[in-house]
Amino acid sequence: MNDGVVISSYGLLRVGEHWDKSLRDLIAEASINALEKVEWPPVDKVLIANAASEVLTGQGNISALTADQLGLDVPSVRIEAADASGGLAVHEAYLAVKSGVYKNILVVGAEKVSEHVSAISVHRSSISLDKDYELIYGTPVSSIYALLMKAYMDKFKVSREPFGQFAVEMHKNAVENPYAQLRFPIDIRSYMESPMVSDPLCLLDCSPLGDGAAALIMSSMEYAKKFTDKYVEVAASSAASDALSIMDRDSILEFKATKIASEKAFKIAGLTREKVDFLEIHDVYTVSALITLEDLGYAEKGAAHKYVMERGVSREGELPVNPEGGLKARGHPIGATGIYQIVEATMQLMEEAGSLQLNEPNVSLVQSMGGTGSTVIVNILRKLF
Amino acid sequence: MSAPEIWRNAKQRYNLTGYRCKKCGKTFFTKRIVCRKCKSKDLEEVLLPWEGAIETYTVVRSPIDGYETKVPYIIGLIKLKNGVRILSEIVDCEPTEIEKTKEVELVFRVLSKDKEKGLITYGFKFRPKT
Ligand SMILES: [Zn+2]
Repeated sequence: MNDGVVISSYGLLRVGEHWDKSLRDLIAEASINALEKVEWPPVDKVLIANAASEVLTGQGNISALTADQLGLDVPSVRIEAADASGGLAVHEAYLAVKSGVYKNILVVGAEKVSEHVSAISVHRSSISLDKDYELIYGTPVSSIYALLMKAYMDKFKVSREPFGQFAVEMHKNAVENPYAQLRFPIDIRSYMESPMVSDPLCLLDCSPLGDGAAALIMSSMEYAKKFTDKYVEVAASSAASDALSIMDRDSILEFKATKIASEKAFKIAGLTREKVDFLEIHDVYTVSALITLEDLGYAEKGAAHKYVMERGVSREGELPVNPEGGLKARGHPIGATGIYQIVEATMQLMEEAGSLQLNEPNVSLVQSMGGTGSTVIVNILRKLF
Repeated sequence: MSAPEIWRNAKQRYNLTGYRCKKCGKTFFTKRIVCRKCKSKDLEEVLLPWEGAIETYTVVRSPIDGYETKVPYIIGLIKLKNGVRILSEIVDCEPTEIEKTKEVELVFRVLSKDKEKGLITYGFKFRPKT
């Protein structure tokens, strides 16, 4: 077994509509970006995170496509777990390096969603739901999160304002993020006036789908030292599963898999919640962010709305949440999103986050979620240099 | 939806049958061969109650591909009389009326029509209790 697993390089593209780039271009550009930063060290495995290339682009077999684009003859594996594909690919890379079998892995996440008009893309990305029991009624993913939001608001007597406040903070962060899809500020009034998508969930509760690709080099610490002196440790990587449909959950007011994965991750890393300097969480809709703050133990059950309004989630606060704008404003390139989260946390810990840079952070917790909570990965990153 | 798929799901969608674990008593609506709770394989098919109460609901205004002409439509999470949770469209109800609706009952409706093959999928939906 290997001692330390580290992230030794990263690469990313701006999230958005890349009309001029195909899926293969996205994969190649982000990967080359990460490889060039450390002058192309030999890679012994490739992991490609992608949620839906078959239905979104018509291309299957993208593990081979990825290796081919980079001229590599090493094993290449595609990881699919809906929106959590990226987080799960990082988890699998962690295990592969930890086992000692692999030393230097390219982990790339890519998704091409703009090939179709929006309704088709939304339809095709809603295949993460249960086809037989949910999608049969024409339920976009937004409608399932709307059910959760309505249940949360009714149960805890919460208005829409805290959800809006979360969105406002995410947009504020993204303004200065050169890789973000929505680089404009919003205020609580524009949130309140934004059109309903699925009551009570409005347009500004939603993260925008976008094309994107991001890449990481994950290495054994010993191997990384051969080509770089700047790396971030993956102190823990933990994953858990829950029922595919919210119908079969004990409670619809929590994501059980987040609780299981995070408790395990804290134990593996030997850290307490309080040691975490900033969070990267899966705010695919604002309600998922609020529930996640509770599941991770930062807010009491039913009190995340107070947490957002009183303690706050901004870059200037005690515990910044998604300092680059989160899914909400950086954008959501489905299968690549989990890699973006890890790249962004790495940039912060390496102090390469430009005008978004937090004050010398040491530890970040990154939570990725697939579907409506059916897969959750919690990765904890720690500065080592 | 393909013909075999419609045929395979007919019993569940026409009668609202579910799966009850004889060992621990847990009942599921979603199809299972092993109990999610106690892992027993001793499951029996049971008819689920055709009445329940709305646990939470949403009015879909931004639909997925193929449902554009239906908006706005209501999706509800329903707790059946025996406690089993089920997701369904709620029909015969204006979006403005849904907030005061609590009790609902099963109705048999068209779920979708296949544009190319002309196959019609039927199944249950729920409506406010009459
Ligand atoms: Zn059982």
